[in-house]
Formats: sequence, structure tokens, C-alpha cells
Amino acid sequence: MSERPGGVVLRACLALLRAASRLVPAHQRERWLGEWEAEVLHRWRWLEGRRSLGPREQVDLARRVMGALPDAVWLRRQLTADAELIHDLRHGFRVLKRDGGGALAAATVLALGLGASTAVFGVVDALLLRPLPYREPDRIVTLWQTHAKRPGQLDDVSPANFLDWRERLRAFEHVAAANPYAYDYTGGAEPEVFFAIRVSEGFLEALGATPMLGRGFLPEEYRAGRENVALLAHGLWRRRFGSDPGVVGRTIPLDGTAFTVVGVLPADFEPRLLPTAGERGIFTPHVVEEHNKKVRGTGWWNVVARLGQDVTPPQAQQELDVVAAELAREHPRTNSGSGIRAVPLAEHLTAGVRGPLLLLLGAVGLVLLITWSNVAGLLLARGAAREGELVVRASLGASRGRLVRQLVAENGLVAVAGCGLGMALASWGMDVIVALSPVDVPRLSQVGMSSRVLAFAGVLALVSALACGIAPALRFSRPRPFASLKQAGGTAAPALSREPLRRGLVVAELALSLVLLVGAGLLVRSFTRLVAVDPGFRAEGVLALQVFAWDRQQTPAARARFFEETLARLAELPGVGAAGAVSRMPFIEANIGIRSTLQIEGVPELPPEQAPRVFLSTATPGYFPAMKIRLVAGRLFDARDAAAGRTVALVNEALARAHWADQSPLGSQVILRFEGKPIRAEVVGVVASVRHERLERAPEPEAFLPHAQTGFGSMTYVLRTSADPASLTEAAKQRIRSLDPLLAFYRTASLRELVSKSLAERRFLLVLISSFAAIAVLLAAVGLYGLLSVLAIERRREMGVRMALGAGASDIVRLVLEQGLGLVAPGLALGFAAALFATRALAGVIYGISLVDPLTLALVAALIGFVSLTACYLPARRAGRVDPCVTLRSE
Amino acid sequence: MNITYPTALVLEAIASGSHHGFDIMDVTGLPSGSVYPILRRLEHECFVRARWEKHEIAQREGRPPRRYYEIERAGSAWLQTARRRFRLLAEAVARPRRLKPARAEG
Repeated sequence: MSERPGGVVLRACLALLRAASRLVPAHQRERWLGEWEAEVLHRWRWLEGRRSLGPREQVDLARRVMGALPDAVWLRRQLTADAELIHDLRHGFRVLKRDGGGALAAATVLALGLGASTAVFGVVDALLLRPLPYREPDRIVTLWQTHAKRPGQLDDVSPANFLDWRERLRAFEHVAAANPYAYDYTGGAEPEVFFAIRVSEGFLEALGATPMLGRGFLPEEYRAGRENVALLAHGLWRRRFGSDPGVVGRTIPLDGTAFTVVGVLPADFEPRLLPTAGERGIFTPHVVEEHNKKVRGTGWWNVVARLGQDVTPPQAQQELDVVAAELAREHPRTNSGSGIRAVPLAEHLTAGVRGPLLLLLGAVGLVLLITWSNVAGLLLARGAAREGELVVRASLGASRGRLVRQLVAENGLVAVAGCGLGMALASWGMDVIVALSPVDVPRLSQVGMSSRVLAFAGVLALVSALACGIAPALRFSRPRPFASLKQAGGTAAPALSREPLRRGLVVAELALSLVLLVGAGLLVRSFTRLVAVDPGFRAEGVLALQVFAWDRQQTPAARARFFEETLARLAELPGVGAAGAVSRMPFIEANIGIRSTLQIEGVPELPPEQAPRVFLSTATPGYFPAMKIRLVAGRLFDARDAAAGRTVALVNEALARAHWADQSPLGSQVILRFEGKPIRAEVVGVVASVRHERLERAPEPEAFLPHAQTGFGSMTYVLRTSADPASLTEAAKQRIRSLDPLLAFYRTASLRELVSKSLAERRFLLVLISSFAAIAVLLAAVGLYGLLSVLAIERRREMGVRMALGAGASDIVRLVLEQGLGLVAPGLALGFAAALFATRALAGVIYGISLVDPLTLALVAALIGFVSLTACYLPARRAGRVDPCVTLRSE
Repeated sequence: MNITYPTALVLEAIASGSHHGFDIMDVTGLPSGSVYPILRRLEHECFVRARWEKHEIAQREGRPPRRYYEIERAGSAWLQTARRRFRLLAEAVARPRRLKPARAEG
């Protein structure tokens, strides 16, 4: 096309056409403009050629060009709603492609936030929210003994109490007891431990579960003589019996007795009532032994019950209180102060994970808030850049609703992209969470992308699209024509720096990420404190093998001899430095914690209820060197402490401090109770206190008796080796089996593994909250960086002028930095204030430091400060490099 | 598509040899704000087909190529019906009002 200079009218006409073309749906715009321009130019040339280009003709032409506006508006309107949506999406896509950076950032931010929250929701849903796979799961409760002296603690139930409850309670349909058990299975290639639950009558009925194959237990099978029947759990049936339905009706050897398999339970039947390791593969009827029927003082049973029809939980609790009061009157020695508490099964099963999961949910909520504010911020920035376009469209008659729809559609695209990516992240994140979880969480296997999780993610995505899209849409669909049009040429974005919304978002992001960071910092600090704790032993290079050697060594003397001989053989293994055995093994799951009253000769005797209680263990001489437990005073066990020898005992430092204060316990006579019998022993040594079960739990008073004098059967072998402990496992098992080929190993693990497992829950929280904190800080930095970049661009002209007037690059950098710090400072202040409140949620998991730990706060402030400075400095440096000539010319 | 007088008028103009937007305005006397939406609708209904003028013609005249409209078979059929309704349709475009400032009519 030739550009012969036309008159003012022609130029005005062409300009108007170009402006109006902005209204035309983009896919038709070029064609539309081409048609109009061609007509106008054709007419102009034709009139020129006829030399009849008078004012009249020019006015006529201008009128015709004015008609382009209604034409353009009409074109836009005639699109149907569908076409409009498609068009909006296509337009959005193009816009996103054009400023790919901002959109990509928004989608990534959204993916991170949605991914994290969906993953956590997936876990929370599977573990806490989804109903249990039993009939009417809301009616299933667990019953516990409580004691006025130990508020909040739930105790296992004693057999005599259980029998009375079952007889007297009317509010429940079935009251059944379960207790964990382990059978030695000798039907396979080598002896194996089958973890089992022995159940009383009504157990399956209380849970409302029915076997998948075969039948449940018959009433007569809960009586002696008929009790050798078993139900298999699905997992064990699949693993050990190859999912063979023919196993029903067959007999299997358990503890040397033939048990008939009567049924197989369904896959989702996972009635973990106790926090013990491993799946429970076998269920057998529990015939209550005569001697147990009278035991009321010690409890080890778990009771499950089904609420009767039309009975409300408060009514049931009322009856429980009445029965507890009756029993306390009838058996004051054991039951005074004792109560009964019903805890819904679902709540009981998730007791261990509820706290951490709710914390995580809170953390992820914060991440989600940051995400949304960040995405909204990014989209606000994009909206600002397009305000010019929107103003033109609004001035030319585009309705506000139309503009809102357009912007929401655009941002919807960002949400869809972010969501897709987020789902992938969530699915991966759930795997990570499951891998990190403390092992014994029921229903962990069910965590995954269920329809509920997808629905949740969908709702989040929708909310994201609306929340992130609507704020900018409402803000920019009501453009301020004068303010915007005054900034001629549309090169300068409207003054976003005076935009309180976006500044507020960045300040909020900084504050929220600081809260998470303080939380993560506290967790890291307490974790490092915790692993630095001296447990009283050296965990490296120790192998533990737990056995229950009661069946074939039936007298104490035989058991004492068996352990002596097996230990002698183990000590010969190459690489083994020391070998011993103990009844109460630190950090092993099935901890045999026997409590005994303690009476010291020469000290006035207290009534039994008030007598001090200590943990009582039995150990072989090799145990202490194998664990490297320090001898504080006196001597360890040795060959003198044989069955026939003088009865002796060791005490730990905690016990010595508690009862002998500054004096030496050596030589004192103590009376302990072991297996129901009083034992009078002389204290010959004091050993360092050892922590049990958890590193944060302070050592408790503990006394040891020599194994040779007790002949106890539930023992854990402890081998100290210079090699990798796990590599020794098979050789050690063979040495022990050379004396008892049928002995099964209940648990084998390195001590390091056992200690590490006790930290699993903390590690879980720590890793996840730290990741969330990292995400949050990253997002806040992105938000800060984005805002400052926009600010710097807005003030380009001002900076150009300043530089032209002699300001140096460093002055400009300082200018932008000052602006950034004006956001960082309130963010930090707000964040610290919020952190003081929010970290109270961590009170239960913080160890060894205060919730207002100065070091953590200082480190967090330094980290946030550094990240923020970097986020501020990059745009500042860019602003400092601005060439004033270029800036001023472009205006 | 509703049979309205302006629509019929535009179609009649195309049928009788006015192929470009501004020429159609000239012969029908309709303003551009009416002619173009009608053209869009006719095109959408496949009553007319729009093409770009040959590039050589445009180059020779030193301007961009114009878009011209031709009547299609469906358009002709529809025009027959419209002609029965608006008797004076053919006469209305037979007397071109060239170069007159267009006043809205009909």
C-alpha cells in the first residue's frame, strides 16, 4: 500500500478505525480492519481522482467511518454465549502466550499451592475423614479405663473389669476384648511369627464385619477344647497362603498346635487397636484363663463395643460412669478413682496422626492463602498492563459483565494449567507423605487420588480461578478512563504503586511465610536437640533380636541355660564384640515393661497403693557392654550372679537419685516383685539411665535382676558388632536356632533403626512443614519481586528524569530498595506477631527449646531478610541500569 | 433469517452488481452502521460470499485490496421471496443515489 499523505480527515478516519478494531473479536480483527481501510482509501483516491474532494465529501466519508463503530460492536455482540466463551478462552490463551512469563509464574505458583494442599487433603481424607469400612461405623467405640490420678490417660482394661463390664453394660450391643498375641507358625520353610489378635465373643459383631470366605467364630468356640480355630486376615492369606480359598477348613500349626482355618476376612478389615508393628494376620478366639478372671489391678486388654440402637453417646457414658462407680465400691483396693471412657473407634485409630495432620492442614492452609494472594497479585499486574485496552473497550460500550467474563476466562486458563500441574504434584506429594509417615498409621494404604480428592482439587481450582480472577476483574473492569487515558500512548502502566490491594497482598505473603518459617525453624531446632540427646547407650553397631522362648524351655533354669548357651555361641560370631540379652529393650515396639513396687530395707514401708514403683528388667552380664551402658558405681553382673548365688540387683542413676539422694545405694537391700513373687536383692551397682521408647522421654527409675536368677523367656538379644548390624542377622538367627530350631524371631532390627523409627513422626512433620515453609518463602519472594519490578517500570520516567538531572545508578537502586523495604518491614513485624500466636499449636511437639526461641527467630528473620533483599535488589539493579535517553524518548 | 426491508435491499444491491460495502451504501442509501451488520449476517447465513479483490487491481490503484460480496444460490432463493414482499425492491436500487450524503431510510 502506498502511503501518500492524505488529509487530516483521512488520518483521523484511519485512527478511528484502528481504535474501533480493538472491539472486534480478535480472530476477525485483521480482516475487518482490512476491509474498512480498503473501502475508505478506495473512496478517498476515487474522489481525489475526480478532484471532487470537497468538505461535503469528507464529512460524508467521516460519517461512514463512524458506522464502523456500530459494526464492530455488532460483531462482538452477535457471537453467541458459547462462541464468546470459546473466544474468551482463545483470546486468553493468546494473551497468556504473549506475556508468557507472568502467566507461567502464576500457573506454577498455583500448581505448588494446589499440589501441596491436595496432597495433604488426600492424606487427611483417607486417614481422618473417610468412614471406617464397617457397618454403621459411628456406633463403634473403644472402652478404656481411666484413673483420677492420671487425667487424660487411657489405660488398657484388666480382664476382671472387662468381664464385669460385659455383664453389666446395657447401652451396648456387643462388648468384646481383643489382645495382641504372636504365634510361632511352623508350617513354612522356616519358623515364622504370625502376629495375631485373640478376641472374645462378639468382636466381629461389635465391628460389624463378616468374613469374606468361610464363617466367623461360633459361640462354643470361645470355650476350652474348641478354641483351636483361626480367621485369616486378607494380607496374610494372600502373602502366606497364595490367596487359596481352599485354605478354609484346613489346619495350620501354630505354637505347635493344629488350628483349623474357618474363614478369611476382607481386605479392608484392618482393626488395629494397638500401636504395634506389623499387620495382625490371624484372629483366634480367646478363652479367658481362670487365673486371669481375677486380675483387676493390671490391664492389657483392648475393649471394643457397639452402641445399642437409639443410645446416644452421652447416655452410654452415663451408664459407664454408673458401672465404674459400682465397681469402685465393690473393689476399692483396685478400682477406687477408676473410671471408664468411651472413645469412638475412628478417633482412637487416628489418635497418633490427628495432631500432626491437623497441623499440616493448618500449614497447608497458609500456603494456599499465600498462593492465592500471589496469583491474584500476578494477575493484578497483568491486568494493570492491559488497563489501556480495557479502558478503550469500556468507553466504546463493552459492559462491565463482559469485561469481567473475559478476565475470569483468562485467569481460568491459568487456573486450569496450574491445576493440571498441581494434580501431578499432589499425586507425587501423597507418595512422599506416605513414605515419610510413621509406619503404623491405619489405612495409610488407602491414600491416593480418590474421587473425593479429585472433587476437592476441583473445588480448589474453581475457587482459585474465581478468587484470583475476580479481584483483578472487578478492579479493572471499572477502569478510570481519565486517569488511564491521560497516560498517553498506553506505554505506561497505570499507577500500581498506589495500589493498596497489591501491597497488602505482598505484606500478607511475607507475614504468612514467616509464620511457617518460624514453625519449621522450631521443629528443626527441637529435632537437632533431640538427636543430640544422650539416650544412655550407643546405638551404632547394635543388632537386636527379640524372642519369646517360653514354649520349649519350660523352667526358669532351662531358659537361663538356653540364653547362656546361645549367647556363648553368638559371641563367637566374627565381628561380634559383645553379646547380651535383656527383657526391656530400649526403643523396641513390643516393650516388655514390667513394673514392680520398690521397698528399701531400713526405710519405713508404705501401703501398697503408695509404694514407689519402678521398671524392673532382667539382663545377662553381656547386655551392658553390648549397649555400652556406662557403669557409674559398683560392678555389673558377672559369673558370681548364678542361680544359686546371692540375689543381687543393679539400679539406674534415676532410681539411685530418687531414693538414695546423695548416699550410695551400694550394699542396700531392696525388695522387688517379679512375676508375682517378692525378691530380696542387694544393690551391687549403679548404671547410667537409659531412655526408652522416645528420646524426649526422661529416663525413669529402673532396676535390673540377673537373668541367671530369673530365667525369664521374653528377651531381646543385643549384639555389638564392628560391621553393619543388619549383615549379621542371618548368621545370628542360625546360631540361636542351632539350639532351638523352632524358635521364631518376633522382631529383628538394628538399634539405630529402632531409634530412628521413634523419630518418624517428628521427621514427618519436620520435612513437610519445612517444605511448606520453603514453598511459602519462595512464593513470597516471587510476589515481592513481581511487585517491585512493576513499581520500577512505572517509575521509569521519573528515574530517567532523575538520572538526566544527575542522579547516579546507586541512587536509583536505593530508591527501589527503599520501596521494597517499605513492604518487607511491615511484613516481618506482622509475621512475628502472628508467629507468636500460631506457634502455640506446636507446643506439644517442641523439645528442649522455648516457643519463643531467640535463635530461631533471629535465623528466620535473617533468612527472610536475605531472600527479600535479593527479591528487591534484582529489580533495583535493573532500574539502575536504565538509560535515561531511552526512557525519556519512549514517553 | 427475518425478511426485513434493509436486508432485502442490501441483497438486491449485491444481486444487481454492487459488490463493495461503500458501493452498497451508495445504491441503498443505508448508513454504514446498518449495511455492514447486514453483510455480516448474510455472510453468516451463506446468502453471500465474501472474497478479497485481486491483488494486482489493488496495487494498480495504490490501495489495499477491497472485499467484495457475491450472491449465493441460497441468497437468490431468499431474494425471490423478499421481492414478492417488497414490490419496489428492484426499482429502489435501480436508481443509484451516487455521491449523495447518505440519509437513513427504510
